[in-house]
Amino acid sequence: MSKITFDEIIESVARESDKSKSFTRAFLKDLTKAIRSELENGEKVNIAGLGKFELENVAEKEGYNPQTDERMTIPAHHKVVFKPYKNLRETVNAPYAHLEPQLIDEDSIDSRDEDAEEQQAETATHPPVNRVFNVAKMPGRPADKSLRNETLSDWSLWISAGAGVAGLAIVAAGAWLFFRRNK
Amino acid sequence: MNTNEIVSHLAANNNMSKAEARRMLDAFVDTLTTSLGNEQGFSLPEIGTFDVNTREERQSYNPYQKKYMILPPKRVVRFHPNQDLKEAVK
Repeated sequence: MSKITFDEIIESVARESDKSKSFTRAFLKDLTKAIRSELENGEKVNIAGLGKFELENVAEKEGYNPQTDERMTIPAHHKVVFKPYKNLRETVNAPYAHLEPQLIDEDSIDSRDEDAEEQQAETATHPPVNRVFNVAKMPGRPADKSLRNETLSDWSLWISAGAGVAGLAIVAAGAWLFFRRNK
Repeated sequence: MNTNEIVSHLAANNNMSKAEARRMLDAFVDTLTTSLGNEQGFSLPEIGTFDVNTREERQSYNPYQKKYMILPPKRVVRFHPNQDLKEAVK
């Protein structure tokens, strides 16, 4: 993913608002300083059309250093989060905006899973591609991630299928008891 | 601090009218939105970096309707605060 520099942002803002670059630079530096000092004072900052910056509480938790395997407590602290407003969210998601969630039934879940396993056996070197949404030709779509992602999603699939079956069993048992009592 | 307060602050600091400050802020918001829309990230001094991340499609379950569905992939804005801003707000 490419990046643009702060200078390019300054140039674009200067062009759009007919101001000199040095004036725009001072203005934007002022803006970022204001946002920062506000956050440091624990306040939130709303910028119309863009989003809001605010502080979130993070509770104390246990962590460990993966290099030394040493356990430690990470103390409770605040972190800065940015929540984009609707306009920005929609602009960023524009290429995928036409996609809707697709309903599937449990049979097709099982077959999807088997397909994935078969493909995995056939092409051991390449991760299986088993997608419903064909976004391969969309601009800016990164190449398929590692195999780990696929196995992870398979796991969640099994877990959700198991939860569904368990739920059905409970409902069936409840209905049976109910009708027996009403006889 | 809301947008009006930012505009007043900027106008006072830079010897300009509020309308002018508002126009420049809007130009700034516009620039950032277009940039992120083109999947171009950037970093702002003192604050942090912004970029665009693609979320893969995923399976989901609606327990009320008892239905499975596949949620489409989507792109989201990601923000990483600067290291020293992180330290400062701790």
